[in-house]
Amino acid sequence: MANTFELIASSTVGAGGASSIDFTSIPSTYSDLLIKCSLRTGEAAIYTDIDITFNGESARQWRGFYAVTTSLGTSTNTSFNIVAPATAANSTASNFSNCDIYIQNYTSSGVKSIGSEGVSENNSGSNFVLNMSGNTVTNGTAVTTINLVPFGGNSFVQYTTAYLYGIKNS
Amino acid sequence: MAAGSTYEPIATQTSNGSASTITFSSIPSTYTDLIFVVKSAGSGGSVDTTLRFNGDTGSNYSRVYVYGDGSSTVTASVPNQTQIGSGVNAIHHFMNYSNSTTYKTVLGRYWEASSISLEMCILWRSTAAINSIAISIAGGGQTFTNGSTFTLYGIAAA
Repeated sequence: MANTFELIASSTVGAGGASSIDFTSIPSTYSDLLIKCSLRTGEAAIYTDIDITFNGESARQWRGFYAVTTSLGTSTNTSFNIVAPATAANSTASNFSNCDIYIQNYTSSGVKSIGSEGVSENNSGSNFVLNMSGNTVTNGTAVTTINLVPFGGNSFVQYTTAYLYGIKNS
Repeated sequence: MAAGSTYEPIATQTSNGSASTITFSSIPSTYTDLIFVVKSAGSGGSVDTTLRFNGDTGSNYSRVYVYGDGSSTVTASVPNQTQIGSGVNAIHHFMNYSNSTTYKTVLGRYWEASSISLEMCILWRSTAAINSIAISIAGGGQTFTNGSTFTLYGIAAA
């Protein structure tokens, strides 16, 4: 049976924390990519937005929207690379968010489309978050490197994990 | 994945630019769930598509959804539709599509960077096994642009 949903790489943050999660040398042999991650940062907040960059890009060539529901209310805004929420330090210890980030056409030199959703639940009337976002990227090159970075210079804490899968459509 | 792959591509179709509807027919019943991945665009800029199952044109479709469009967040339900709305970039998860005893539920999400990010639950009030899925571009006279791709995956229980 053909393998069409394969683990490419995984990352688990160690005791010292990490300022980013990096996937490099991503092969071009798949149709789509899927990142499944469990995230937490040390920020003193309910949650931390997670930024994603491709191929170390410095110029922002992203466009999109996100919607988020938290104990603070519901909001929507233009998305600048925001693809996931990470549970942050004001949530119960040992609680991590769960997120899916689906990247279409990643080997194309044209537009890549990214759909994502993530949730952090805290068994209380506060400190929950549900986030969904859609983005397109026009960076003109195939994606070979992906970096997940917490906004605001925060860091991922120990036991944060991310798994990168490749999906073939034939 | 353990015990071989259960996330198998059943079929992929690519638009040549002239089709306004793409249909997957004769879907095998050998899987537990289906995943339908849509990467498309409308020739006239449409960001909406519609779904139909088994060619059913009755008012048997409904959905509940929540979306954000950059200026407002909206949640609503839409009952008794003859087809059900979706988007041009989408992932839909069909659960228990092949049984002949329950109505069929689909968890879907779609997004378009110029307009919307949406999550929804679709209900098709039919106990029939889903053996065909048709997706049409919304907006009169539009077609799926050349190179739009549509892939149907099957997921089997272990």
